[in-house]
Amino acid sequence: MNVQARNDRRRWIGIALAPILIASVLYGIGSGSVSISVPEIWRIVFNEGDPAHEAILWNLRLPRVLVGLLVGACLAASGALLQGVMRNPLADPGIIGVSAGGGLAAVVALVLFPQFGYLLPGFAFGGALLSAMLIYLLAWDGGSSPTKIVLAGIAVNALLGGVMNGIMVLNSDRIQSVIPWLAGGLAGRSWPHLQFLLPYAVIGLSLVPFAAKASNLLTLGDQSAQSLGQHVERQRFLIVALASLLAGAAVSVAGLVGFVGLIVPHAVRLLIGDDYRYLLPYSIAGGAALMVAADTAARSWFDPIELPAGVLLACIGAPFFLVLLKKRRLVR
Amino acid sequence: MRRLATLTLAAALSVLAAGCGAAATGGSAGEGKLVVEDSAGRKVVLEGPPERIVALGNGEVDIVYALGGEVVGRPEDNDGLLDSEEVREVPVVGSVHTVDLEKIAVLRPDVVLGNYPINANDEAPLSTIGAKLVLTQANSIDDIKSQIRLIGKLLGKEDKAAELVAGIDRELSAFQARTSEKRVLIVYGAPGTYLAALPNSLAGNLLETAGGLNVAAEFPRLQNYPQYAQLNTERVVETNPDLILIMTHANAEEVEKGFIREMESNPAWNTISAVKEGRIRVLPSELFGTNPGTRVMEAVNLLGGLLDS
Repeated sequence: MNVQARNDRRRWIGIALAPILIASVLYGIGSGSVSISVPEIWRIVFNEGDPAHEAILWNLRLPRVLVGLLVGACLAASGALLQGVMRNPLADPGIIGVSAGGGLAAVVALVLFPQFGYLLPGFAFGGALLSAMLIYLLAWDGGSSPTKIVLAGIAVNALLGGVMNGIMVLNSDRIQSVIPWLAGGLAGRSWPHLQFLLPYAVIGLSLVPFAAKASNLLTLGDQSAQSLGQHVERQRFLIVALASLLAGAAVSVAGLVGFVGLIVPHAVRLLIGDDYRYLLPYSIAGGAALMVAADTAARSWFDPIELPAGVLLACIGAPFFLVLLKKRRLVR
Repeated sequence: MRRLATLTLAAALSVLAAGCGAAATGGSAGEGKLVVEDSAGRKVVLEGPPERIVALGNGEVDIVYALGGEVVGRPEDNDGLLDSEEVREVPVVGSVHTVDLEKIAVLRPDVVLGNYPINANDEAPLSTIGAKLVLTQANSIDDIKSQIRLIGKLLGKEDKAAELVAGIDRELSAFQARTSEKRVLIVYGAPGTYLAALPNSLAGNLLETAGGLNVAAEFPRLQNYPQYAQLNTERVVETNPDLILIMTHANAEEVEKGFIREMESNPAWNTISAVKEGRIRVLPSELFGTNPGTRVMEAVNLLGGLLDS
């Protein structure tokens, strides 16, 4: 593909992302199991609506849409960064232990110490960051290598996953409350969750642009990056730390919705190529839109129950991704 | 991450699928043989009244002792249903979820009382150690009455069983005319994750019996879900229950504090008047954490009290 065509494509997809993002937000606010008409939404905005509907709009839908935007953005950015820095297309926030660590911490909190369940996000965030740190330390041997990090990640994932499954089997009479969390979703999330997530998401996402150039160079391989004047070791550490922060924050409020982190950057890559200066912002926008749309569908299609958004993401996202994979050759 | 989720789902599904494996074992009964039909519709043929019984659920242990029988193996009693020296000395053999075959084999039971559908797949392994599996369930007061009759038949104490059932019926008649206008949401789980107890769960049945209105019953589409479902938060706010009851397994007082704290600080919940006005109660786990057995009317009376207050 020639350069002109690729640049055109990038521009058009970039322009298309804005209305997609806006549409998903409007869908999220306008749709739900309780139907609230558009004129009524206007009346609620001007404080003249039905109080029950007002509560649903302000305290359920709006914060959920905002949490969804941040969760999707953080996971997609984290996945994109990790795929680059590990030079591994299978890398996702799971590979650095964020899901296993967060999952184990959440299971411990929900199953063994339900009295502290209200501290769940903090618990999961701590677990996610600790296990990411553990993996980095285990892979360190005078320096780090992507292969070692990936392998240490697999081992730690297996260990923590084993402990988690052990706790669940031994307490299988009380794991019902854990299952929705592990499947991942935003049921019951509101302003306190946004408040918890916001600082980490804002700091993390605002640092992402600074990682673009280093990510481009690191994908070339350590030696090439070094010869181009990069501090490979330092940059790799910073990028992994940033990815852990982003994914850990997202997982702590949304549970294990890791799929976004794997699929969104790849989908964007298939459309516009590997340049991280575009890949990162496009992934962030795409991840945010996808998460909000999936969560909205999960809470409105199956009324009166609510499906974890992670289930819907996997069931609809995977086939969509496969179609994309079949139709397009990788754009380089 | 996906693998974790897949594993969990697989685990959850296998628990569900366990229900589909129950096969009916027919057969004609010879002289002196005892034939019982269990809740799974299986006809279990025994050589005679069983002498050694292992129970996998605490409700069944309670029923056996209430009938004047005894068990040789029992589950862990985390919820504190059983309060007697005699029972505490009986060896522990896992639970309905973790059947410890070796420990059970050592006890040489004639009969193992399991849960339908959770233990439906344990028939083959138990038969290798010479034990017959009898499956029962306890999703309503009627289920518990059937359990009492079935266990009475096993123990040869059918009169005592009929007496216990009649006792329950007598207490039930006091509730027949009772209706409360109170609309109740029963939540199962830990703070932050909420599953609603549906009318087809034991807690839902007890609530209805006590005269309360389960808000989950307002959604006919929920009828097809088994026992508990993650009710849509928007629907919970819209139904605006008068009272929220919480079922959980851990230390009730601390859990109550954790739950109330979560609900009061989360705007998704604190617009509900039950939360605003502090009408949230944690149900005692010894009566609501498991099948309460013959103490089922204690649970109904307790709910009646909560509905009146």
